[in-house]
Amino acid sequence: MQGQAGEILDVFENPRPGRRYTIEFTCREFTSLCPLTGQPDFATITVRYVPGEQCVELKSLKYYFRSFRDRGVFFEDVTNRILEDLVQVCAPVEMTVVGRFNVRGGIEHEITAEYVREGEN
Amino acid sequence: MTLAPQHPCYPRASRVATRAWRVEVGLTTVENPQPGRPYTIEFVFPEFTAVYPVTDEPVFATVTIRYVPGARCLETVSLKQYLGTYRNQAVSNEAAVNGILDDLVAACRPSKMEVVGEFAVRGGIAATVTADSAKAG
Repeated sequence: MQGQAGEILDVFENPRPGRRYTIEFTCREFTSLCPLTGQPDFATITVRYVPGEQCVELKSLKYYFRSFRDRGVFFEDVTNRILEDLVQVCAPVEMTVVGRFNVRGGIEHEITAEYVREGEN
Repeated sequence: MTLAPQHPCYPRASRVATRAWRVEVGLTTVENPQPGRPYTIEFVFPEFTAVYPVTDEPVFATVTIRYVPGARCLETVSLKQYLGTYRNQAVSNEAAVNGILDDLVAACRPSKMEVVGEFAVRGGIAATVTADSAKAG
């Protein structure tokens, strides 16, 4: 768990742990700061996962995303960190995090980070 | 899980910084190349964000600035920096849109200007605020 993420993120019991079903969250209001310039960055973050024993609680996820608002982080770091923190807290069967960052310097960034639990391939 | 407002990860509105601080950012203007012609300039800023003072929750909006320039035109880099100063301001949607209009009119003295803030849904409500320099007050 990175930094304060463990204090923010909460989980609840998966109501159907025996079924392989998918949950997808989309946050269109993700914002952080560029670590080089201090200028704000904006992104749409999509989290798609097959839950294990635990599901991510939505309100805590909102606060977790918000915790990046005043932090200087690279797009690649943000996307991978979100994946790592969420995997740590809810131990999913599999999870994909996609960060679609708004155009900067004429360039769009889309970062995809994936996790698959051992033995699920 | 309870995240108290004093939690370090909770966004805190800077209640000290006010409009005077924003003005320090400095809105730059450039000479209007065609001052005799009434033409329209429109800027769309889809990355506007501020903090709602009642809840301390962040708000997001697309801000559109449409104006007919006078002798001076707004310079876009300084405009971007100016709009970015609202990021940690505790300000209502209405105060933000009207504050933008007041500051931009003061900076470039346009023939007329309209500022529209289309705010993202909160509590099931999408708010659009429009302020027009041609309307008295």
